[in-house]
Amino acid sequence: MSEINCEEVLKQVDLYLTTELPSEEIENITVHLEECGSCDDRVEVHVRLRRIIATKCGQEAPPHTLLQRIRSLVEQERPPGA
Amino acid sequence: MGSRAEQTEQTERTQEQERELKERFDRDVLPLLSTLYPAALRLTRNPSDAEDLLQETFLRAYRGFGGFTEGTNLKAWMYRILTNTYINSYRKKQREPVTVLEEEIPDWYLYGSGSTEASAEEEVLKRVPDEDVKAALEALPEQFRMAVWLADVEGFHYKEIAEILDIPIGTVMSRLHRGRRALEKRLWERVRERGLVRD
Repeated sequence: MSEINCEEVLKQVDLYLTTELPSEEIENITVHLEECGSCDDRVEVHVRLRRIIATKCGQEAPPHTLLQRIRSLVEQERPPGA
Repeated sequence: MGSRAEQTEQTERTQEQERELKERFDRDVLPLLSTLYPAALRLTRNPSDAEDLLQETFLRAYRGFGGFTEGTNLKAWMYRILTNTYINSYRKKQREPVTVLEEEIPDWYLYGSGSTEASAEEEVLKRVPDEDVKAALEALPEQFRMAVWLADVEGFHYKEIAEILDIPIGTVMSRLHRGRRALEKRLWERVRERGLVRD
């Protein structure tokens, strides 16, 4: 049996997905997800939600004039101190 | 003090360093504008403030660029400046109070149809117009909004988000968790309002 309960799994989803957990804990969660369909679904929904947010919210291109304005602001500055 | 020749040599070396730093800024930092622009839009919630915020952010970055350690995460460094600039200048202007999420949402609650598969839910959410998803994100209190942005759009790890926002990792975890739950709830409300799914 896995040594971790559903609540703990859901709390750690992000760390699990970005592999920021110690390998032992990753293993515990992996085992839990294999056994627990409800958590497995929840993690899947989570992954897909992240993907939706990323594809729908990060696409606008900056106006061309903005880069020009920043360039000229920087030109007027003293060079950055090393 | 050294001789005049030595001083001249030193000045030339400093100018050489400054030139090199300026080149590196143009090459490495300026291209990040396209990444930071949508982030600034989500933070300020309007294009004119986003442009002001970015101008100030890049100017501060240029002034502090000598302090950036080459080889460390430049995008995280820029996000840190963006966030600080926003907090110091724009939050005051917009008078947005530091709010908390009013609703406590139980972890086990599923917003989708519940019985369908994750892939089917994703298909439904994909049909929600981009503008609605942006509005749902922008409706989150800023501290949740930024954490969700950094994790979901930029893919930063918890540790990096903690450094960018200057908060403990535990706080990052709870903001992300609660921010996403609230976002998810709003998205499903939008789905139902738009009749994208039958109840």
